Amino acid sequence: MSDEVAVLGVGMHRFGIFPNVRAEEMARIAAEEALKDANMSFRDIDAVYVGFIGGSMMGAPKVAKELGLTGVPVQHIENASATGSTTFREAYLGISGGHYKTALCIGFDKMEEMPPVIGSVHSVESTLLPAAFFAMWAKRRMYDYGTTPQQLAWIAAKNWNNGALNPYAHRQPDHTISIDEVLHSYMVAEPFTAMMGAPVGGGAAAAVIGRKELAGKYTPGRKVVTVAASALQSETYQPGHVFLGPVIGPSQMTADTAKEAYEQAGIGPEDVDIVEVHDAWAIEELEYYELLGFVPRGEGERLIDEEATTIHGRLPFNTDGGLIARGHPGGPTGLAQIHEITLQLRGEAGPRQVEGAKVGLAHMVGAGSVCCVHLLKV
Amino acid sequence: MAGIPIESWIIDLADLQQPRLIGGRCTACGEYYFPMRHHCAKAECLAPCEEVRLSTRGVLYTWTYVPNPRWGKAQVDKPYLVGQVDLPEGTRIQGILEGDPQKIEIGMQMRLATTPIEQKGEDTVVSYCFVPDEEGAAS
Repeated sequence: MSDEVAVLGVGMHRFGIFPNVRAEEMARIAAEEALKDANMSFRDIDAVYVGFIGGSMMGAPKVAKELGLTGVPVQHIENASATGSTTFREAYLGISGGHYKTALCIGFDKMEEMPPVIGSVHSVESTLLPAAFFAMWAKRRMYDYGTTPQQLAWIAAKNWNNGALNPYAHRQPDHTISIDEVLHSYMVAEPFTAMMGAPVGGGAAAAVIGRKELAGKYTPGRKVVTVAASALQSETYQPGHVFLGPVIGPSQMTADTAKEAYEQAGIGPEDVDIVEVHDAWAIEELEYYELLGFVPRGEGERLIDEEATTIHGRLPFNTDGGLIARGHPGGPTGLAQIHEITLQLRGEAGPRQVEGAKVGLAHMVGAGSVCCVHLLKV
Repeated sequence: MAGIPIESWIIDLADLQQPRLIGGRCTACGEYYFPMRHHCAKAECLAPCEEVRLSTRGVLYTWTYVPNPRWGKAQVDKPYLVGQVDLPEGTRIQGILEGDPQKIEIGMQMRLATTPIEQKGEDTVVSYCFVPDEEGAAS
C-alpha cells in the first residue's frame, strides 16, 4: 500500500539570509522548481499543503494563489521544527488514503524575522534559547559517557563541509572546516560553540508527491523514489519528564517513531543507506546515531571515531549539510531533507552523491514534543 | 524575598521564608508532576491529580551557562545559568540557576529560591530559581 506513493518532483530556494526576497517569493520559486522537476503543471495538482511557522494568517492560500487559481484545496500545516515533515506526511496520507492522485507540499520561513523563541530569561514558560536546552542534553551525556567537545566539533565540521558541496546550503564554506575552527568559535552555551549549531535564516523547499504510476507518465525513464513509511508521534511519559518551558523532549520519542517507521516499511536500520536528522546542535546527531537504532546506547561516539557518517563513510548522515550547514528556517526544513534524499536515491546529488544509495531516512523533531520519520526508497 | 509570583498557579509565596512550587500528585498511581496538571500523564493511568506543594531541595541533573544569549546576530539577554533539578519525589524541574558558573556541578544539592523579575509599583515580581544548597551539602 505505502509503496504506491512516490515523490514525483522536488525543488528548493537556497536557505540563507536574502533581505531582498520575500518569504512568499522563495515559496513560489521552490514550488515552481518542484513542478518543473515533476514535469507537471499546477493544473495537475489535486491538493496543496503549505507549511510555515512565522507567516501570516491565510498565508497558505496566498502562496498557492501565486501559482494559479485552480480551486484546489489548500491547507496550512504547523508543527514547530517538524512543520515541513508534517506537511509531507499530510500529503502522503491524502494520497495513500485514496483522496488525491497528486499533492504539492510547500514549506517556507524566514527565521531571522521571527521573534526569538525566548524574549527574556525572566519568565517561567519561555525562558531558554534552543542552544541552552540542547546544551543541557550535551552536558549530561558528557557526564554519563565521557563525550568530548572534540567529538561534537567533528560532527559540526563534517556537516559544514557537506554544506560546501550543496548549492542550496545556507553555509557553503570556502575552505575545509577543521575541528579546531569549530572549537574556537565563540561559546554560546557550554559546551557549544557557535559553529556547533544551525544558523538563523530563511528559505523554501517543495515536493510534488502522488500515485506511483504517475511517475512513468510524467517522468519516464527516471528512477522512482517511493515513500516506504511515514510515522508521526508525540511524547509518551518518561521518568524525568519536563513539562514547563522549552524542552528537548524525551529521547524515547525518536526511538519509538523510528521503530514505527521501520515496521511500516518492513526493514531495519541495517537497510538504511543515508540519513537526514534534526541536528540543530551537534549533540543531536550523536544521540540519533543511537536512537534511530544504528548503534547501541552509549556507543554513538564509535561512529565518530570511525568517521562512519561522512559522505564516503558506511552510514552517511546529513549529506546536504544538515541543519548546521544547509540551514533550518523552520517550515521548509523537513522538505529540504526530502529534497536531498530524493536526489541521492535518484543518483542526482552531484559531488555529494552516495554511491548506490537505495534507502533514506528523514527525521525531524518539533519543539521537543513531536517526532516525524519518513523512509524513502528506490 | 517577598514579592508577587510571576505565575500564581506555579509559585506559592504564602510563606515569606520559603517559596514553594505548586505541583500535582496522581490520586491513583502517586506520580508527582510539575506544574500542577489535572490528569496523570501515564498512558495506562490518566487518573485525576491533586494539587500539592513540592519539595524545596533536590539534586542537579544537568545545567549549562549561556554567556552569549543571541538570536542570529542579535544579543537578546544577559548571560544566564539554567539547569534541571531532580526532586526526591521524582519530579524534574527546569529553571534558572543562580551561582558561580565555575562552581556548578552535576550532582550537587540545590534549593529553591526566588529571583526578582521586575518592579510593579511597590511590588517586586519574582520567579523561582535554584541555588547551591550549602547547608544541605554540609549536612
